Amino acid sequence: MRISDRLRYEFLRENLIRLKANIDKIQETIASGRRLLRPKDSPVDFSISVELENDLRKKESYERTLERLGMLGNYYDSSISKIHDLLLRAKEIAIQQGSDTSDRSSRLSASEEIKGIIEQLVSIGNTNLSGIYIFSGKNLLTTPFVLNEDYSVTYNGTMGVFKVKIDDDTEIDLTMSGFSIFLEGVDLFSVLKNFKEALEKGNSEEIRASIGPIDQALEKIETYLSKAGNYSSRIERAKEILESRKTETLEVLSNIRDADLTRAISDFQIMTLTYQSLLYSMAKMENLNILNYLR
Amino acid sequence: MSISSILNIAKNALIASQTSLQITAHNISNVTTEGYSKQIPVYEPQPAVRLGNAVLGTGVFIKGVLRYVDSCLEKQLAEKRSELEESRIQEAFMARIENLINDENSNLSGAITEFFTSWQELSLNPYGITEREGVRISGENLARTVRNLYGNLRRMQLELNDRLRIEISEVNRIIKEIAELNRRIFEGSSGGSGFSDLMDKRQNLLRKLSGKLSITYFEDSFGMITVLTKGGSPLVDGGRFYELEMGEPNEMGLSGVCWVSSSNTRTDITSSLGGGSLLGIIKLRDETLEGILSDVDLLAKSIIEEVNSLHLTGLSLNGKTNLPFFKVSGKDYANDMDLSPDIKSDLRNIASIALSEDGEEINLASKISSLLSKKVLDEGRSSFVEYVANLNGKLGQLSRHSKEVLEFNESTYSIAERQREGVSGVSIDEEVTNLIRYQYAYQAAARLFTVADDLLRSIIEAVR
Repeated sequence: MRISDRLRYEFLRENLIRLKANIDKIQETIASGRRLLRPKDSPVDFSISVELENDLRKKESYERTLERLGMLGNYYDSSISKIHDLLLRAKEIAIQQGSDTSDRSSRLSASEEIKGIIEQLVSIGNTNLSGIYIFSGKNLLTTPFVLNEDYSVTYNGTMGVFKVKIDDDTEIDLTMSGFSIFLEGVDLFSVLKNFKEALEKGNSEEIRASIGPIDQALEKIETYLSKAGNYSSRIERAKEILESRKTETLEVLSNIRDADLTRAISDFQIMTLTYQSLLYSMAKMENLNILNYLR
Repeated sequence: MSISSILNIAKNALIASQTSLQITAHNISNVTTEGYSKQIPVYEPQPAVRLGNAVLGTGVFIKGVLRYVDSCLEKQLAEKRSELEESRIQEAFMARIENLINDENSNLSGAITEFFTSWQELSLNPYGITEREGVRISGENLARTVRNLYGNLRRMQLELNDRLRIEISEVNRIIKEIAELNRRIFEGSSGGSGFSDLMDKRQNLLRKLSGKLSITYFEDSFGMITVLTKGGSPLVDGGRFYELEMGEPNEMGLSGVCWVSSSNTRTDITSSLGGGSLLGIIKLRDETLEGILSDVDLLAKSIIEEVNSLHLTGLSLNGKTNLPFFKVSGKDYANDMDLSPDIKSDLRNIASIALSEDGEEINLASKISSLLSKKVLDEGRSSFVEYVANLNGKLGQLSRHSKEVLEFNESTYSIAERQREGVSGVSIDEEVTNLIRYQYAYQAAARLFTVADDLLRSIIEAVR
């Protein structure tokens, strides 16, 4: 086939352009360290990487949730511990004052202490964390426990609590129910109120009879103490699982996204070599011209 | 045999060589001209003369200039040009569309995720104001991202519309020139070198025209070219030409392509363009972009409807119910996506709690944030983010495909060009060799003069 001069140069020019474009692309890959520069480079991988990136963001959101719930869990832990300690003290008093050796005045001062315990319990029940009452059930903005003049306590919260997600398929309680802890089954406040009244009356038998209910209250609180402990460890476990899932996702994502630098560099070297060879051959062809050989 | 006839022969030979040298020089000077066809002189012996019983030749003359062209190859090249230009414009715009969807600043999938995770934050503190602020901000961001994307895509459609207009006026310009050349070729004397150049010019224009739309053409007995569209409408007929026009714009402001007849009636030829950049533009505008626009609109519609249907059941902090979160519009979901006026005016109207059928309070914010994982689209197969990821993937495929088609067309066009150049192209080596050849011929003819001159002189001196 005849090769015209124009054709020859066109051919060389096209190849130069093509090679240069490829070299530029590899340089970009090396500079950014990422393989997936544009969706057209690998549509399926790009689409997967979009999903994975957003999955990571979602996991980070659940992480924040777990952090928050973990903090709540700690508050519940310490609050219920305090309740437990207060009830233990009440039991101590009951045993002391129930004996026939105690007198009217010590019983009266004991009843003052019981009043104090009731007040502290109310205060614990009204714990507020960042604007929400943690024992109020669903009425997060309402003060749950109101101490009345006669030392009875009115509850303004709800029985149930809200549920939140800690991952796509798992819901847990947002808060622990103040109703369940303080009132359900054994009503801590009425137990203590009755105890206080028994102390005020000074009736030894009645005082001794308070020990039973206080024991029941202690038993209940101990159950809740372990529930709080379980809650905290459940949160911890969920955090660990989430962390490991995040790591997996990151690994897959980096496999897809990150460039194999060794490969990229060797490709780069091959291409620049080809480019150089092309330039060299062009220069050589330059001299092969009949005009150089005529006179 | 007279000496004067020898002189005559010498003179003709000289002229022939001179002309050939000129043609060769013309070839050499046009070595880089695109679409130039090599020209060669056609020699023919002068008519013979009888001298008694002998028939003697009387020299040579240049009958004409032959243009080295293969009209089959030219037609092939023109056809390939249609395909090439169609794929070229598609590739250019697909790259831009891809950039639009994947712009860092308009991260659609990120905005969706952020919106629904802001509801998750609210679910942890259902009465919170700060968390509501977060929902509002991310909601506005999502709406804005969708609106911008949709707007940019529509603007690209309009840009393509303008481009169509420009291409059509290019077409009209080319058609006019071809008709003009037809006239000149018809009127001018045939066979000259300048005439060849006109034909080259006309062929170049034909090639350019077929880059715009698919054409068929043929030469008539007068040497004029008739050009028709694929659908059969004439564009050039001898010295007459028929123009194209933009059609009536539709409600989006987009027009098709019309052909204008001699009686000024307009025929829509959009569906019979056959190829070329015009078709490329139409396909991009009316198929590719339109498809993406409706995908984005569907996404917006789904998000709006899913969120609203839950939010309507909720109780705002003001105790109101039945409030939509997103503005409800009839159609144009993506174009008009925005928060509802209730939400915009009062943050406390964002509902995070709802009543179940048994009158129980439920965590609505948690339910709304769960929409992120819900398989809403693609007949229950894709979540919102998956839909966007698929859209990205689809676009990536289209983009890659258009690049591959372009590369394929570029190389087949190259091959066709090479074939054409093989026939019509100028090779310097060849021309220089011809130069030498004609130069010797010229020198030999000049020598003839000298010889004839000597002969004459000897005769004149003989009779002194």
